[in-house]
Amino acid sequence: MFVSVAHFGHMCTIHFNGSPITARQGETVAACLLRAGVTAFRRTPVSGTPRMPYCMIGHCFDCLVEIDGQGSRQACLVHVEDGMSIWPQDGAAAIPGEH
Amino acid sequence: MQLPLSASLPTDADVIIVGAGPAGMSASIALAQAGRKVIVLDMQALPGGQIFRGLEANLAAGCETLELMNALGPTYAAGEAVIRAFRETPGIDFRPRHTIWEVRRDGTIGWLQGNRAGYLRADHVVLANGAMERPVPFPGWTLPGVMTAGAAQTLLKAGRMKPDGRVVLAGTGPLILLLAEQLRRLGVRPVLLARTDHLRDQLAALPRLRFAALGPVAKGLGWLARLRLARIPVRSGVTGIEALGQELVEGVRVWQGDRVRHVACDLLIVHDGIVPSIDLAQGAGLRIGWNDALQAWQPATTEDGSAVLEDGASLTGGPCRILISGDARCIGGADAAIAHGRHVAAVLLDAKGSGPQTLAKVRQSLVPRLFLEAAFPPGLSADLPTGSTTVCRCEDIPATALQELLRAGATDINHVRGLTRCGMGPCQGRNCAITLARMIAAESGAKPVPFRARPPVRPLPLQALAALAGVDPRLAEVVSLEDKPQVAVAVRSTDV
Amino acid sequence: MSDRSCDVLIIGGGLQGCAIALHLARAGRRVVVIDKGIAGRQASGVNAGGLRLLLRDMREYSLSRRAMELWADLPSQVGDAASGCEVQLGTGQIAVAMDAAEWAWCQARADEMRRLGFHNEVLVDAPTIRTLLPGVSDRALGGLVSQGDGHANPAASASAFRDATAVAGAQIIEHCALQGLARMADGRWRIDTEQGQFTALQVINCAGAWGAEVAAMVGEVLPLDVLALSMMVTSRVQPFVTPVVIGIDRPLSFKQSAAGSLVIGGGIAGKACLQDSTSFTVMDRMMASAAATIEAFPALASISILRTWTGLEGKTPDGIPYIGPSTAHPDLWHVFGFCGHGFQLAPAVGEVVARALMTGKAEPMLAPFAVGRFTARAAA
Repeated sequence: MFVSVAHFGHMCTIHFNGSPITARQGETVAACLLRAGVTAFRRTPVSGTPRMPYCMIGHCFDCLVEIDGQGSRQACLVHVEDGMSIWPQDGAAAIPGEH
Repeated sequence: MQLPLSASLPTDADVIIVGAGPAGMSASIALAQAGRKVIVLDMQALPGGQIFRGLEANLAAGCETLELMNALGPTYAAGEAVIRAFRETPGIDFRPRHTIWEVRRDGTIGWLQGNRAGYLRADHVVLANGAMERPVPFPGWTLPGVMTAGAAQTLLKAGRMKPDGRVVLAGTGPLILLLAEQLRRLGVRPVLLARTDHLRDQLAALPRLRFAALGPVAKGLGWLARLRLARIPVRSGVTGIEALGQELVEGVRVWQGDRVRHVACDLLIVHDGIVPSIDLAQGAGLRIGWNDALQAWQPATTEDGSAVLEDGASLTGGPCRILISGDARCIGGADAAIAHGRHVAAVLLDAKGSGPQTLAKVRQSLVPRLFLEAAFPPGLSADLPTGSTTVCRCEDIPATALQELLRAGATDINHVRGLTRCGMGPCQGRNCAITLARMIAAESGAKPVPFRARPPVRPLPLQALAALAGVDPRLAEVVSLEDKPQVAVAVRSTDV
Repeated sequence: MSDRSCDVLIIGGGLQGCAIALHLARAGRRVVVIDKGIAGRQASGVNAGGLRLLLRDMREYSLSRRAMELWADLPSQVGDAASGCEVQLGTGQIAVAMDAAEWAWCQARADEMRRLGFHNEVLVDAPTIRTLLPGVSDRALGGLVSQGDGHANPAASASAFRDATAVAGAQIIEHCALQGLARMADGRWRIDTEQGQFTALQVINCAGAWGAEVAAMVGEVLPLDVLALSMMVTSRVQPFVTPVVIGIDRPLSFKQSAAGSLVIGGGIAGKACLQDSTSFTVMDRMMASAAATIEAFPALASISILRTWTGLEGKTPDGIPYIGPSTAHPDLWHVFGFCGHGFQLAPAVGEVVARALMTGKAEPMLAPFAVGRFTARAAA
């Protein structure tokens, strides 16, 4: 759905849903996942329907993912870091350590 | 119980500015140049707001981003001057990645960074937290692959990425025309630009056209001409759309009156104008008014930006120390935001000479809006959603569920929220309040009112709240209800 | 067209007022309920929704046990709306002891309850409490469990009682603020409101945080502090806790709602503005309940609060409500001042007060709540 127009400086690796994705220092998690072709960042707690970012500026809260064990993180506001482990938020947020 | 004025606590700055977009940056530059201590907070990692999002990084990347910068255009590049001045003016304490979750009339703000939070205080607070896209509920708008024009621009500017595949653009406003042109420059050919506005809107708006607006208008006409040359299909007078697909958008139905077309697509970008973000102003107890032409709320301010308090009781007392600037005050764009930011600084500095000058620039900068607002009236959101169209994205609430309550006589938006959960999700009504309020107003005839707002206006982690820095020790004194009963005391049934 | 004269006029359409009205209306009395706003939108609609016998004041126990029976049989009172009230019973309430002093208190309480012949509060040790509350801190020493307890949705419950009361034939008049209250020469009450005048044989003051103001209208001084009790709610989280958790000395109190969010209380006060019928959260004070929550459940540290709310509540000097006839005037009852724990009692308050009014006989269950108990003491 999206392709790069220009690159960032350093590359790094993050994981989404268990699979590695090449990420770029300086980009947001949302941008990285979209470039990697992720179409469902989460499923809503009420109906289980998939969602992708809608506004990309922190107002819609549709980009909620679990990052390094913490749920309900807005992917459009968090910048990638090497080794980040990201999971789609399936319904309600997970509580760290409780799975 | 009288709560003490927090003004008697030491302040952290002369002025705290929320938002490092054009208005916030301009205000902080002028204030710092005059020797004032200024703290500027922003949710993002870099300054620039939405319009100059990622500009600093893109400029620093040199030739890597040459094609991107050319595509984004001169208005974007022109932000370099204000960002450079923002970075180079001494005395500006810029705190990025700070989310604001409370604003009080007495000049207190609550901030969150990562897992730490606290309060800061200043003699004045300037809210320059900008605007957001008008939520546009239509059938299928929650499908993955439906996003706003602002989202697409953010992905261009901060993500350095462009859409790949079949793109449909739908809606109205200068922003969607600009985006279409930016995409064209990057070799993206939208399969359709579906405009809800029509030539007759622009013709009807002509009486409002002033000299100052000619530049932007000419630019817009230029973009349209280039889109036509590139043979990108443009349809005007679109009356409705519907996004189709199972787990992902696969196509869109486009109505022009009775005529409907189906267009296959991989990405549907929508835009129906932008509206002021009122969350912070509302949380501070400021007066919010409904703007009928804008079909959105705006905080009530003087032309200088001084906010007006809502009548009635309030958390803290004393004078209102809040001013509002930029798109958060009224939609005007980058130049108007810069002009108003400078004016707010002049007002705060009580500069005898420059006040009238900066005000004159503010008025001049807002002139193009007169034409633009009339030329591009709300389109996709003009009709209220019906049936199974989602109103509350967070809680998956369709229009029918809300209509039921309204037909049964519910008129209080907070009551409806309590009964349906509409507005109780993570976005706290940012994307549904306008719609629900208009639905209630359509039944009751009263002006749309927003949800009651209480802190935190953005999510606040428990560990951050548990260890708040900078609390008012007198306020923090816990007055709580002791309802632990006595034990080891003989209780006789006749004991009273 | 509302009927302006009635048998009983009830001031306040919250849970207490509507529960009483429901029983009176079903018994054939002509009942009018007036509320200055939307019925049930004050404390009734914004409390924690706890259905709790655990740690309840002994003086409330009989009333509370009868109320539990009524909550278990909610459809008999509110019909089909009962399912929307999300009543959970048998999921339990647990008081967690986080230090030696709290643990000692729990043991003393357990001894006393046993001595008095009550067996619903069970002392549990550290290993047991970790089985019941998997996320609880290693520092928890044990606690008290009342397994039959649970929780419900307060706003839905207030709404359900209000609607059932209307179905039973009572008139509910909203946006009808009380302006005057006086006895007429013939012994009936004259009630002046912003929607005109009513007359009634009996009046019940269920005005909640405004109860003392109403009493003062007829020259009765009933001590009442007004507090704005604050709550906060998190985003939805995966199932984390089944019982309601409360603290002993710490401001700890939370449950997981039907939606999955954690509703956190703790009795923290906000700023009350009785005259404007509004209240404000003081986030500086909410620190204490956030700290207590993550002290007991460290895994919740990174869970976010989405919003807070407050409700106006009345608190009496001895922590239990006024439920009884006025000491100054005949045919006037006061039922207010529930000190933040009236939600669970409401169905029984409705039944017992209605019965007392209809039979004219004193109800032993209501003896501790005598309206004149403070002035009687002062006079003694």
